[in-house]
Amino acid sequence: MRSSGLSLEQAPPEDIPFRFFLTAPVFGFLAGCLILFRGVLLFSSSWHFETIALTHLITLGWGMMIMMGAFYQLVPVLVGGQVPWIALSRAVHFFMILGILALTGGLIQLSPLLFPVAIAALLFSFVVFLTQLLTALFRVKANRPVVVAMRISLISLAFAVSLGALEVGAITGLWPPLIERSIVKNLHVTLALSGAIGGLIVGVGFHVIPMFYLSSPFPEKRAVWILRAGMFSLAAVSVLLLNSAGSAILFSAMLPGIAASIIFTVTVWRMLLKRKRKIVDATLRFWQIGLLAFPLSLLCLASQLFWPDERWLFAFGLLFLMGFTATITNGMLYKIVPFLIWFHRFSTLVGKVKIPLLKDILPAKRTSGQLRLAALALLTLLPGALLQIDWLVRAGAVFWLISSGWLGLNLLFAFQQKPVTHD
Amino acid sequence: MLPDSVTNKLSVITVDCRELEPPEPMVVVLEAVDKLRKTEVLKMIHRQAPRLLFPLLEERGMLTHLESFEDGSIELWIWQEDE
Repeated sequence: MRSSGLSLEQAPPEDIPFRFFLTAPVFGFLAGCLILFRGVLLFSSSWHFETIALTHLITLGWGMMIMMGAFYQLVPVLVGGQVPWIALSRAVHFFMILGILALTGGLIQLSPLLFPVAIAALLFSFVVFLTQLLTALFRVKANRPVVVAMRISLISLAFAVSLGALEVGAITGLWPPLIERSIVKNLHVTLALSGAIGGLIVGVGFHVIPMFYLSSPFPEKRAVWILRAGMFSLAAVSVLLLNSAGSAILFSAMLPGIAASIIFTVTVWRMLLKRKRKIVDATLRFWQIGLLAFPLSLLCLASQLFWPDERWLFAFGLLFLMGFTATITNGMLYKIVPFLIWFHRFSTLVGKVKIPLLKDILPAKRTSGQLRLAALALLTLLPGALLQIDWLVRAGAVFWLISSGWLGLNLLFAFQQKPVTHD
Repeated sequence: MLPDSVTNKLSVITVDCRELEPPEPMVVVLEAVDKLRKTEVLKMIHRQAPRLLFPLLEERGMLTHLESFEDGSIELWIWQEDE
């Protein structure tokens, strides 16, 4: 037993995580609009500029927005880290929006002048964000799995952002290409998705599953093994990609990471089945869909090594981004946002007036319909993109954009809940 | 080590929050804190350190002592200052 004094770590001001969380569905909606207008053309080549625009609407607009809000909120609360210059986070948010709009606008060829704006705005946001969070996380002495996973996620993000900036600069002629484009692309995708997004979701999963679903704790030794295997694969694949290694050796390097994703999925699935409160809600289903999509997506990526066909890449992209990332973050927003509303606005009133429960702040009937639509979007887009059926892709786009809008309205509903004042 | 001001209290009220989901542990503890007498000390048992609870306890003028265990679980002792 160790004894420690009072910890006074505090959550960041309410508006900081919320401004990021509330922006994500807007970019989800824009991504849906882009798929609706361009249809199956977006799934014809992964080099297509509009496909890259779509990818970044989801990775930066949805994924990074929620990740940034989550990092600002969870680092003080989960690991006790103090995020410095917290007020700057509002500027990070503003320049992220500007950068994502400029990048995607440039990619869909609105104007080449947008690329320098995108580079400047996104680099500002990422440099400030990474400096804040890496400072906070490396000051924390604990080496618990969640802390290690967050560090892996941020370091991967730093490399992915640098590669992205190199590529955009090379495309627009700001500087000459330093590395071959296909190597930059593969390295950028590997570090951004498996490292930055995968690392954070897995790490936070170790902690939030027992917390929100009252399950047994994630076995610590297994968590450490998963992180080591993931780190090994990430580093090995990166080095091999830089050296243009062959498919067989790349696949061998991916194997520990794929095994780690399967073990993570099986462990969390069993923890959820054995949870103490057997309530089935939308958040649980979002986790289950995401857990299934995670290892499946990595297997699709590995399949591409042996059977070169861009459809494997699209299957990987859809499963990883819409099936795993968007689904799990969607579910977590439904847990975290009502809790934060409750904490910031109602917790000081406990014992003084009757205060709402979380289910009053965001009723289940609002979330269950959106879950069905999100699942339907995935089930429609996936076969539509792989079988190149235009109407199916456009139908999936409609489901996806309505689902994103619905998520936004649900979050706004929660955000509007305030204590009733009697004058 | 618990401070003398805690061990001198006449009775310990234990609140086990290990099977409560957020934010119930905060509600249960804050409601118990509001009924706490100066002769009593509250012991909260939880799966993890309730970091968000500390500012709310500070706002109510409570003193606290946190003991953390290797498995991440904690015991948080909460009491009022003797006058």
